[in-house]
Amino acid sequence: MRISLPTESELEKGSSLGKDAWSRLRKNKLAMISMCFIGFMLIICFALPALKLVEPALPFVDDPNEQNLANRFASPSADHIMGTDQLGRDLFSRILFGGQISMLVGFVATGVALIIGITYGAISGYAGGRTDAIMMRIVDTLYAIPFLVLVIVLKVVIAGPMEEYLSWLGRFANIVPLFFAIGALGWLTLARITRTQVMAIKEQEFVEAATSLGLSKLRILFRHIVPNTLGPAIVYATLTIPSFILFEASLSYLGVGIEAPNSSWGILIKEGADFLETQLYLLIIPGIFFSLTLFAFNFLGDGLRDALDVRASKD
Amino acid sequence: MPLLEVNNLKTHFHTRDGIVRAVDGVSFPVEKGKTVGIVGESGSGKSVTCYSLLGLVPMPPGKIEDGSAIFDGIDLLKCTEDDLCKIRGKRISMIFQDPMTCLNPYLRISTQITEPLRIHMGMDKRTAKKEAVNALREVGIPDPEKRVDMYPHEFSGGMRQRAMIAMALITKPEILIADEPTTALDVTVQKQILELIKSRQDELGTSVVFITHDLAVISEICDEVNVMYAGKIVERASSKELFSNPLHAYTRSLLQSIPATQIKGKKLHTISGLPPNLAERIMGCAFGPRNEIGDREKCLTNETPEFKQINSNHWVQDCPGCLC
Repeated sequence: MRISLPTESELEKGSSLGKDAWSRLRKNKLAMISMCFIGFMLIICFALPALKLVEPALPFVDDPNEQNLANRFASPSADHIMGTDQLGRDLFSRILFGGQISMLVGFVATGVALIIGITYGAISGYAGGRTDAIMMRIVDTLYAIPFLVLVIVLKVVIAGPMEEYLSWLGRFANIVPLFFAIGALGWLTLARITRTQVMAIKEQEFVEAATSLGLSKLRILFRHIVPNTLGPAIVYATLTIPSFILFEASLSYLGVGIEAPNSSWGILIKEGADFLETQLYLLIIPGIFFSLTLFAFNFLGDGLRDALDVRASKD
Repeated sequence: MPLLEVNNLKTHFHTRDGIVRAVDGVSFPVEKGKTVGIVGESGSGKSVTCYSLLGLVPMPPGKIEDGSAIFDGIDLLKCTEDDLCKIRGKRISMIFQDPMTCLNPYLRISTQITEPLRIHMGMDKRTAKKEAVNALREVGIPDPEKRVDMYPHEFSGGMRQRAMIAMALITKPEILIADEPTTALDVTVQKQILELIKSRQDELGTSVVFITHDLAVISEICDEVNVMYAGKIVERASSKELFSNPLHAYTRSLLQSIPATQIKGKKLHTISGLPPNLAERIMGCAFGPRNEIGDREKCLTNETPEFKQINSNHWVQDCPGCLC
């Protein structure tokens, strides 16, 4: 058996736990393929439409909201590589722009949820005692109310005031409130995960050592304890992204999510479902994009969970 | 006047089983530049004594019931958390028993060593890092320029303890509290670490409070020794005096238990029984029930023995059963 020794340059830099995790993740083929796929989706959803602005002659990509009633339900062709929908809009372009919104929902809402959840959970776990009990009962209460109802209420409440501030965002102005409504309520599980982690880690000796060095409580919490809890939180977040994308789809399906004429993958599927019997591709094509992306996120999440598992020995 | 004067320190833990009197009236001075040892069995209150000084006792369940610890005119037990933060890591530092768990696995050694400099001295990153490299060199870590950027898991146990010492001493504190710093290390490394602490102490003029249960370590490094039992100091003497003229039965039993002093082939001497349960109030002499060297019958049973001075550098708990 050959043992590969670390090279001189590797020794110089030292290998962090993060690097170890990365090397473990790299061995997981499915997770790496998923990561590449997500990267690819991000590029085509964001870069192609952006390129179109610079270079109007770019083929395949059209204005997703441009209607052409004379050309409804067109079959795939050089002009419309995935055909057109019931209003003659280019389906591929609509999938790209819809993908932007679906991805944004996933990332922004998860980001919001991560920030709130980690901060809340960390403070609750670190403070302990009565503060912890009160903070966790609030979480329990929020858990008890159906998520869907809460998000709809919150979105309606914040949409008006937020849109005024966000008018500079153009077509995204009425989408951002949705991100925040989902994120602002999607942090509950993250808070619980972080709290448990913090409670375990705050008993460790290096926290005592940090205290003995004269670090303030806040610094200990956010510099020494929270980084140690990020592993499980990141894994959970990766699995949250697809669930938020899915959630936006169901909201849009109910008519409280993204508003027409904007599209998201959820809306495209909903519209496709209306023509299920005659024009099946309107449902199938967005469905393929949607489900492949969800799969990719889930595989990546699983891979990350294995890679970040500290108990997995360095082989 | 001593640099640190601990007076009648009482730290109790309020648990479900009642009040555990982990430290029950401990007083000792720490003179500038000297090394004070605290020795005793597990559970005798050595560590809690020192944790109390730096406000590291978890409260609740812990509570400092009484006493004072005057350090340069400041009572450590009564000052605010903010004031304590300014003293901890700057003027009083601590090193811990297990170097494997005392460093944060997610942060580079450099980040951790420079932290006291950055928060206490307001040093910028680059200067602090230079200092860290110097500090690592001074504690004998080879190739410190490279090592400083490594993570704790790439250090061996001995190296981590060296790094801990470097970290504790980087601000040139006036007092270093060493809580069994050699217990988790193997014997050859133990000796190096002791020598390191000693040499750094000589260079910086730091006072050291050295907690251990290893009498051999005490004899090597300490100027003055406090023997603790059941939350109280039973005997205090200069290191020389204690080893040549131990008075208290507990100290004598401890000295007899050192394997190196015993005759080969004979059964090793042990102190029978267990330390008393500190959740129960101890009347009289705490060591009485285990006293085999002195006269158990004569041990005080109703009143707490007085801590009295024998000569200029020797104090002992005055219990007739333990002193004979």
